[in-house]
Amino acid sequence: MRGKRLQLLAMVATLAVVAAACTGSSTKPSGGSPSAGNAAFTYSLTSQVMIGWDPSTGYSNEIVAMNNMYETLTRYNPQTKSLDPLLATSWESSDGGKTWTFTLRDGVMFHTGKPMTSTDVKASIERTMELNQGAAYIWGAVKSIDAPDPQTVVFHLKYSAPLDLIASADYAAYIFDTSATSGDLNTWFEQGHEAGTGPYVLDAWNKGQETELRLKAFPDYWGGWDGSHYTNMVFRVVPQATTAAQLLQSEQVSLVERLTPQLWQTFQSQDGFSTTDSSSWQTLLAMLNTASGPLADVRLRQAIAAGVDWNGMMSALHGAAQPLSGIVPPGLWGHVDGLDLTYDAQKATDLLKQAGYGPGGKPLDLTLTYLQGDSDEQLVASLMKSDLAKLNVNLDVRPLAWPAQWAKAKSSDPAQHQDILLFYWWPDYADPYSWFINLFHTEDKPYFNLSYYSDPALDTTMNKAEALAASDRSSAESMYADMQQTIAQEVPALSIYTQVYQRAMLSSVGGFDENPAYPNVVFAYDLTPSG
Amino acid sequence: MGRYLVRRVALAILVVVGVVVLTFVIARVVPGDPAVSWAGPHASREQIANVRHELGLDRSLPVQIVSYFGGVVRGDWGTSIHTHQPVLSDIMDRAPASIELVVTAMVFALTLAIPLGLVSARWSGRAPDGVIRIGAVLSVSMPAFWLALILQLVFFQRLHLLPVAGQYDPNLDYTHPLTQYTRMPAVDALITGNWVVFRSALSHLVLPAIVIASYPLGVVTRMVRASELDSLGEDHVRAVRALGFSERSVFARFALKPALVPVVSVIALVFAYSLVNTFLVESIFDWPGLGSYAADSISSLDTPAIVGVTLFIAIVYVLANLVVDLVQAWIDPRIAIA
Repeated sequence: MRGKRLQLLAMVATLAVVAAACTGSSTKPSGGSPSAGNAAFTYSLTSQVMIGWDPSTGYSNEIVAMNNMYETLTRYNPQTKSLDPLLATSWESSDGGKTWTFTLRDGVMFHTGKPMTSTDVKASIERTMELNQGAAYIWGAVKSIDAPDPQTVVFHLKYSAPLDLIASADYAAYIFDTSATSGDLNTWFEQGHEAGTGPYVLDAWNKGQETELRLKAFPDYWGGWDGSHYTNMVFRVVPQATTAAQLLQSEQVSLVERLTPQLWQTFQSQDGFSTTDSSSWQTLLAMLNTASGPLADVRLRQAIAAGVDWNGMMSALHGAAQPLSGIVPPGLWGHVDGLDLTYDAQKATDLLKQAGYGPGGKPLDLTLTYLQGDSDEQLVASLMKSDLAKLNVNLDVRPLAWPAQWAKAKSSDPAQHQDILLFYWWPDYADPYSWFINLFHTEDKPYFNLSYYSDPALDTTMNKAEALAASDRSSAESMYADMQQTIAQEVPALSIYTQVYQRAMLSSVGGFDENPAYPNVVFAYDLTPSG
Repeated sequence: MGRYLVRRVALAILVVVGVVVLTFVIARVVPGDPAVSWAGPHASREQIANVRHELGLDRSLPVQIVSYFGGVVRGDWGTSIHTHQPVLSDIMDRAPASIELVVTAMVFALTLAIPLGLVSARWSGRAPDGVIRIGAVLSVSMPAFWLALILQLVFFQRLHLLPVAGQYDPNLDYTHPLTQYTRMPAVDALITGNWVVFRSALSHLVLPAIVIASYPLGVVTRMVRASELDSLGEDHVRAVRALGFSERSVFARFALKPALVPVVSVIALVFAYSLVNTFLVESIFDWPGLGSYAADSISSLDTPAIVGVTLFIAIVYVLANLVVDLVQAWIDPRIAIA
């Protein structure tokens, strides 16, 4: 009897708790901004934000927060395709791009309370170079750094390089207070501290939690807080697109990093919400094996380029991607029009026939590897497979985790190499050189040149273009145009598309402009809350 | 009982060691280099070589396993390749959320399942039994992700009664800051008397807990029913009936106790199942538990994290079974002797 009474009691208690929970919370938004009075901007992201805390070595998701806590000397402006001043107000190069002098902004304070001077800039970048992790390689050209007076920094380079662009990088270019702690700086950072100059300071870090990170306004920010600004920034980790959409719908988040194209479309026509879609610098490339296997024959590479219905593929991606002309994406200097991939089944058939393959001939067997779990790459791979099957080309499609996909591609045994490899490439600073030096420059042992392509003339041109990027941008641009022409003819790689950032946000979020040089970063200080 | 306990604990340790060795070897045999994930997307050859050395990946597999076990004993479960944080601290940050969810779901499931099973057995073959049996089959066979989406649609989207995701309303961080002790918001809010957060945390628990409770609810209801019906046919039950005990007493006292032995072992099984089932539910309800951590570590070939999560689940599983064995021995002393 006693047991039964206890059970009954427990049941009643459970039901009571459920009932209380249901009636107690008002989940319907009270209207207005997510936390009226605090002017908080809540950014919904799909995965953990703070992978690392060290501004020298961070090379992952953390840049979305770091770019609000830290600043760089310059910032790339995709509208003007040039640089805006940030911590540096002006800069000039001399000695054919081998010496760079930056004049620093007056009255900049670190969050630690210390004023920023040229010795801090020198110390920050020297520390980044010394640790040599993450994207530190971008400073590879730097021989030495001088700080002749508190407002001036001089970089001496080993070879000429566009240091103004490098200084705008999204990783490894932050300026910070290297004297922030009396203890070990590496440990101090990794414990979750920051020492930047940016508009926001760290308020709370809840590692592994849903509301992972909260930032608040830095009162001594050099830009000041006059006018309309968000004074708080919240990062919420919401992996599921459906959940993120519902949170936005109920105004619990201000902006969603990524939804599915279908969900994103539902916000397009809704009152109270706005959407943006803009091309990113994340380019999907198909690297074709130019060294071994059937695709060493350029006719077959050209046949693959002509044999796939690329426009059909774009419609199947529902706006999540935009076709890419050439290698360099739009918004970055060096981009050229008129080099889009075009579908021409007849041309593909003719080229295949010339090489002894094609419909009626012997079948062409090829392997393709792509990143496991990436649904866009999966779609691209399966559409390529079905289109090429009509041309008697059998594509063996294999999804692999990146370390495995890369290990196979880098193997010292060429028989291990795939015929086609799908992967994304993006630059670490606003310079087209990144694609060329990494993907198309001759390599003794394959590393990122996974089409195993070698063209000494192209190697020479790309190095010349990089040297001129600092002093003679327009000559460099025409060199990049020529190189992209060559790649379109030789087809070591197919540039399939650039990813499109489809953002959905509350219409009260004003002034949002995508900056593809800083992937997924929302510069909250530049936004204007309204409504 | 003492010797029984020692034997069970020794076996448990062996099982855990076996699981870890197996996971470690499988994770290392898979092609691909974890140092690639650590060093970042465009890292140079030299950087990757340095990382390999730092992480000890350039040593032989047996050396790595031995050094890993040495670490585990000292409380060093290695450093995650994905988060760059100590694995044990990562797990300790995330496990409380998963455990909070599973325990709530289990309590919810059991308080309903046991009475429902008994009702079903008491009126076996009649209308209540039919309804409960159909309900039990439905709750076992319903896919968790589907149920989760339907509940979100109904209780959040349509009725505006319950929140869609998260552990509690993040805006309360500004108005009613919560002091964290256990990393379970509902428990922390209760300890600190933060009733606003407590109410918010409870309302956030309801939907994911119902989804996770669905499977154990169905299984345990059916098990209680079957076990009780078996037990009712036993000789000792006929004996107490003959002695003139009331039907209620026969049913809830003499038949129930032996019927609970198999039920308890099923409970341990569904508990472990629910812990893994939580992974999917967590991602739908944006619940910061072990689920997303495990998923991320698998996709980045994060061996220390994969092994760490496996080790943790193996320990929970083994502990749950150990507790069940002891409870069974306590209910039915014949088990320990056997």
